[in-house]
Amino acid sequence: MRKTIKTFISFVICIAFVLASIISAYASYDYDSKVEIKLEPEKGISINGRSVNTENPVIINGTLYLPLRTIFEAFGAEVSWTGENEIVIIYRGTSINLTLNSNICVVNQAEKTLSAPPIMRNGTTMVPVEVVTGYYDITSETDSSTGETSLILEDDGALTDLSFLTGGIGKQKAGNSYFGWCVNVPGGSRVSQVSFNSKTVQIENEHRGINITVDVDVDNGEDLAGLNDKLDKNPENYTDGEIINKSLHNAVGGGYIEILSVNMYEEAVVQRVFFKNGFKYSIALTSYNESNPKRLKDDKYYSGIIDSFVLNYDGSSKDVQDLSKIMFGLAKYENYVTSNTESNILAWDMSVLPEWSEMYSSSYNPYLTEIGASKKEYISVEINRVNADESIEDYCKNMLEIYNKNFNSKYYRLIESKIENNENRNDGKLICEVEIGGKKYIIDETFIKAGNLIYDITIKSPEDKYEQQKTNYYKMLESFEPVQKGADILEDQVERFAEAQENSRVSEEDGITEYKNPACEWSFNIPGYWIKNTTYDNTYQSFTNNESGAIIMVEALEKSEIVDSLSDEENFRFFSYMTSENVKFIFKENLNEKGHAVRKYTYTIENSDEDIYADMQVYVFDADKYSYCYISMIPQLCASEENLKELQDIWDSFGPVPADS
Amino acid sequence: MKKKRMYISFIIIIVLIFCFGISTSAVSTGYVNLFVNNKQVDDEVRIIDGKVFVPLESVSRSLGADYEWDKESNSVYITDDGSSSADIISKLSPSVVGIIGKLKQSSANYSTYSDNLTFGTGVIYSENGFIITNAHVVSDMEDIVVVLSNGKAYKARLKAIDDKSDLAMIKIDKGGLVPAKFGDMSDVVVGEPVVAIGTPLSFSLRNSATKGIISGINRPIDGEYRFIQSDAAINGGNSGGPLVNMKGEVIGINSVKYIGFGVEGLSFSIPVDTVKYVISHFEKYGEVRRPYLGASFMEGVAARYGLPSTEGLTITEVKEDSPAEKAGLAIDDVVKAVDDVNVTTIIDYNEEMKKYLPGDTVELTVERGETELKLKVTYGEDK
Repeated sequence: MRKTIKTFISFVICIAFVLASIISAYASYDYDSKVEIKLEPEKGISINGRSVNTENPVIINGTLYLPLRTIFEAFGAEVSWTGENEIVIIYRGTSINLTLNSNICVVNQAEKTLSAPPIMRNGTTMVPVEVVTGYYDITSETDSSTGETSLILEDDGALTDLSFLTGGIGKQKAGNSYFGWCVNVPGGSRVSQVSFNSKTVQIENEHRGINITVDVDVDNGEDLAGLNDKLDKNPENYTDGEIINKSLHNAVGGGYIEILSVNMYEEAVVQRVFFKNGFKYSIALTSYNESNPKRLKDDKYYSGIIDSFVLNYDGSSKDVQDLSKIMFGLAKYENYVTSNTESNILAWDMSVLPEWSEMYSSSYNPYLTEIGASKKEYISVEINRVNADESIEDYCKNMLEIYNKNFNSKYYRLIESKIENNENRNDGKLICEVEIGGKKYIIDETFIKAGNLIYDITIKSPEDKYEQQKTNYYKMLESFEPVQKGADILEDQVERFAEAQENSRVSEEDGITEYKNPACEWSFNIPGYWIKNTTYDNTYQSFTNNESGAIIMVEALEKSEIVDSLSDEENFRFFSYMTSENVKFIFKENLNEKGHAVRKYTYTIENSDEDIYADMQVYVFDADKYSYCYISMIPQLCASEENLKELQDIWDSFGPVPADS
Repeated sequence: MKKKRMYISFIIIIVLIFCFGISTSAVSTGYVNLFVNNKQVDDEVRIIDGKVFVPLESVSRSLGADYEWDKESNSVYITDDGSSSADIISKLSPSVVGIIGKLKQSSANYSTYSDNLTFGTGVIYSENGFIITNAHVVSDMEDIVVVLSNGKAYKARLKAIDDKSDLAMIKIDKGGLVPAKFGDMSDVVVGEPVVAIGTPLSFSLRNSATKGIISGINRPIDGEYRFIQSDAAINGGNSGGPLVNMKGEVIGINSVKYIGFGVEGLSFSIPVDTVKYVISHFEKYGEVRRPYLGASFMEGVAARYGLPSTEGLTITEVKEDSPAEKAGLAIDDVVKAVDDVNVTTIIDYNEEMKKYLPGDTVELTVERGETELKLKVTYGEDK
């Protein structure tokens, strides 16, 4: 990722120079920045010394009237008719709607009263001078001796600061008022990236060849000591390069850990990690020109930047450029999906808690997005295609059936299932309580239909937290907006994705069907709705049931002296995954099944980070030509009687078959 | 007498050579012939006191220059409308603007790892800051900034956009601007020298110019209307800039959208009549209102290969409840003419449609088998 950033730097430098040199770029013709209009009632008008042919200004009942279009267009405004007697003036972000012969005008949607109405005179619209001077930065002076009035616009609105294009930082400090940090930045720095919730901010300084990255994250119960231990144990998890030095600096009111490292591009990085108010803050300074982080740290200039990082910025200081993107306590997340047209489609957007981030999802579904603090507390949005005649009621009912069928009643309780009317739209609602890994969670699911799409929005939250945060969760739901532009293309794409999934089914029919693997000489009977996953070769195959989350994997090894001489753990690659700390070995049995001596291993998976708790059985036996390793796994939440029986039936039907049968 | 005349006509030639680079001699007996650019001008030449007096008006006109008689100052002004590229460029430069902005996140070219800056060129066509450019330059742009030839930058807003013609109208709030002068398509001839002004490749190359000749007035790969084809080099950021004739008039708006990969020396510009048509619709309706027929056409084979043809347009589809169906048009009918103007290509038809608005009624000349029909169609609105 960093490499890509660097390749763009040269382009940015080029743009920056151009913007800096714009003033002197082309001087062949110079426009006046000041506009001065001189006018005398009944006599005429001149604009910047040039007299114009127009209806003369006139004084009626003491009000000076001016030809609307001539005057406003001279300042660069847009004047257009919106109705028979209605005119709109658009200029510098202020619009004025006027009605002929009416004292009422509308300025930026607010009604105002004029002392005299606009009138029509000899086919020209005339307005009182207050329309010109009242709402814009145009001043008027009248010479009482000559009766000449000057209308003056000093500033023609030329931009002096184009940093909004390049992300340039105009101040000496940059910070984030929501997360409360700020840091000194060298002159000429610019913001190259800010994540949607402004948790991650990247600042580049091309002159100095440095990058300052500030990352904020929820601490998830971690603290300085805990992180220090983890860094000692698995330093490789914290850098793509190499950690050179790590030191813990304890201090009153919180210290920090300093990490000196070299990244994968052999650039020196000085990083500090702080903990405060439930957040973990990291500031990392990377130098593109230095490969020794100790030298970088010892340089007073750079250490000054790192030392200036503080956690007390609340947005009140005017010296700090605030990079927070948070509005009313929420951050707007926009979900774009790529399409084969020239533009990407905004599939949906929603304002979410700023502490939350988009999470890595192990599913291959591009239409499923999870945003949250962890796999224990998040909101997910999945886009599904439905038929036009399928109602939200049907969809909700079907989903409830899937719940009832698949969830183990021991760990599942339905709280509510209903149809809610929200602003002329019927939304489906399904709320239940589930137990995962011994902890209770609320699953709060909302189904929103838009065209032929149904958005399945799921909130997962620990039971106690759900009650606390419910108002916030529902604020997020309220802000949800489905696709506006390109809905038809999105519908097609979602449908095509669903079709591709369907094509991976074991069989078109739902009923039990025999699946054969002739290459490795085995077969079993499996319901047709199971999905066969793509694998590299026939010796290893895997199947999933998308509703229950159950997985079956089969590995076959051709028998040989080597295979015979090695243990099960050494022979089959599955066992190498079992060494993970999330997998617990329970026991091993020796059984006699299918006329073979079967070694059965029982494991449980307890992955707190992913919040996955599952039971796993591994069967190993040697047939005539092949040794087989058969694994079946099911999440504990979905270990309903029905699902367990399904898995048992499939295993019972598994066995070697001769290749030619 | 004879000798004197000889001598005098020699002077005329010298004068002409000095002023206009002409080398020709034309002497006939009886009166003095006047030639401008090798073309004889039927005007009287007088010789008074040994000096030759030529009529100011005819000489200036013949040279394409304007002359003005200012009574008050008792002066004559002859303004040559510029025949050098440098003149044209400096004359038009105040009307050519650079356009730069950030790519919208919805753009297919948006990347989280780049600065997402994009730029193009535009042409000022009104004193109060209306600018015409390509639709594809601004369609994915947010925070549009216009940079004038004097280097000053202004915020702009998108007023109207039309993808079919690849034109868009933006506006800056500044008065007293120098609008570009638009030429006339009827004056555009193949072989005429032209200059393209724009911001190619990098924004630091703002208002750079390239010269070429008009190669043809043709159709591009997939355009809706006719295009001017020239060999003036047009690159990325030139898009939206003007193609200018030697009088300094804009005769087209350059567009790189239709350049094929590997095609060299072939640049396309949107002809000024299309530009004028689109601007007039933008100003009146805020969009281009196109008549809707509800029928699909197929061109004859000859037309597809650009061969001369009198074949009409064969109808391949008629939409239900469409104006075409209501008018009685059927599949396989061949449309030969619209209000007696022959159409042989879809581009012809689209060009012809510029004359009409939704709701207008036309008479189509249709060939059905052996018979020729005249069918009246009232157009709907193309949305």
